[in-house]
Amino acid sequence: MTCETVQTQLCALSDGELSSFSARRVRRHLDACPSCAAASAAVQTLTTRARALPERPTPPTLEARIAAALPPVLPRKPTPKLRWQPALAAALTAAALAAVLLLPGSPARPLPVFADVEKTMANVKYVSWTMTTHFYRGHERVNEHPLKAAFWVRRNPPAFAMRSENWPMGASWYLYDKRGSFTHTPRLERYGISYNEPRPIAQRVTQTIRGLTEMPTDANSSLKADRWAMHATATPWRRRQETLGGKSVLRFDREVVMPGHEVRGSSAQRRIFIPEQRTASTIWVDAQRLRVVKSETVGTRQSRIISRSILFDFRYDEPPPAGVFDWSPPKGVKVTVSGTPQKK
Amino acid sequence: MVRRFGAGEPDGFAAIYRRCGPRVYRFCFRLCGDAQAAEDLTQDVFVAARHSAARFAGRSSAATWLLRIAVFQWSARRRDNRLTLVPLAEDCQAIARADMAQAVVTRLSLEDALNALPDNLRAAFLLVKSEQLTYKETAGVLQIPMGTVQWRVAEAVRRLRVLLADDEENP
Repeated sequence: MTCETVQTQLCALSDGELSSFSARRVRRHLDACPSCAAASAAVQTLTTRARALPERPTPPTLEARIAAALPPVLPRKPTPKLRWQPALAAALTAAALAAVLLLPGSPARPLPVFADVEKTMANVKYVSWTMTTHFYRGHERVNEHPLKAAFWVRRNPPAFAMRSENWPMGASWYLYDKRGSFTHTPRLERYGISYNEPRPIAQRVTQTIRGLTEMPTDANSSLKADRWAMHATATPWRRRQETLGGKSVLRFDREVVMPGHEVRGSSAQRRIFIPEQRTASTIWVDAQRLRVVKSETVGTRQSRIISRSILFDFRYDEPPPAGVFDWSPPKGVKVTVSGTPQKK
Repeated sequence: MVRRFGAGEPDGFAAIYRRCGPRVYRFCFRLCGDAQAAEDLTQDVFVAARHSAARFAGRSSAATWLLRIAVFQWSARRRDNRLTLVPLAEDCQAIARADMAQAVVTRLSLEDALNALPDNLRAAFLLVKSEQLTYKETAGVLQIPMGTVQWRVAEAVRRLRVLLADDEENP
């Protein structure tokens, strides 16, 4: 056994994690090798010190503080085994309690979770918003004027449109309907169609990673993306109450990390490396109506560049200007097609 | 105990806090290296535990389960902090406040040295050496293979020995 091998196992030896066979071999080496024996003694000393780290007494107010912060648990429904009179009484009590708990503005009402917001957002007919994006390298802002774009979404039939005057590729025009998405980039004289999976409206607003068609719900999820399966890690949504512009709002925060990974390009030999993407999202939601009123996403898109997008001026159920969703590539132009059409 | 806590029974929280609270707080303190942050983290741990109590399968002890939540919440906070944009002026003040010379001259305690370790090494070291979990339990808490736990603990010990070299020579 070499000194190098023994040195890597000293820690496991002091933690009692080596098999009896390996432990015997390491001990035999230590008996014969003074330098390894000294290293072993040093590891043992460090282990003893770590076990004897000073105790940290719990602050006396901590228990009360946590108890106050714990979310309430809703009472369970009465069991059906009860006879009808007590059952009715229990049902009425539960209904009265639920009515008090669920009244908007009631201090006893449990805070809604993000799934409630998604449910509300899935039912709006139209929603539009404005987005501005700044880019930073370290603390220095890269673009003097923010990128600015307007978005419209229609629930039925599903459609999504984006227009911008200063997008990096030139003034661009993006329309999504059940067939796919069209893009028109006048500067490059390019028209494109790509077939993507439709996304719920709530995800249009909360979407933080390009290419994903669904957001992770658990800590570790394999996700469907436009073309590839991706893996992302997300924290659960954290929520708290705030005021925004004088109105009571709920604030939801989460972080999503998608590790860098390699995907196959258009030809079998071509490999494309997608770098790691980290994003932190904050979404402010109207506390009464559970609709998104503002959203902010900070994330790394390329190495060392941080983007900060703010979505604001949300308008609900207002029909968009005429023609926003009526667009198809002019006849006779060459159209680049990517992706595959969806199966009906 | 966890089921009663998750169901919101009146003494559910008191029971789990009495049993595991001090250990969770101590672990949080050593992770954060600061009392205020440790209190906040401990609170986050119990709030997150209330949400996920229904999913607790009883395969580990309640304390190990809470330590796992603590590591997860702590990593989330660290990620959050990393993405926060700090205005340049505040950043300069923060650097000016940190008396670097003083930190070098003062002899490092083990707790100070722990704060100098990267996050993943510190968590593995604390779980194994300080909380005295087995490598298998630590692998479960950190959601990594056992071989990686062994490497991280060994690497943390190697770096701590370098940082504490003076102490070892003059104990």
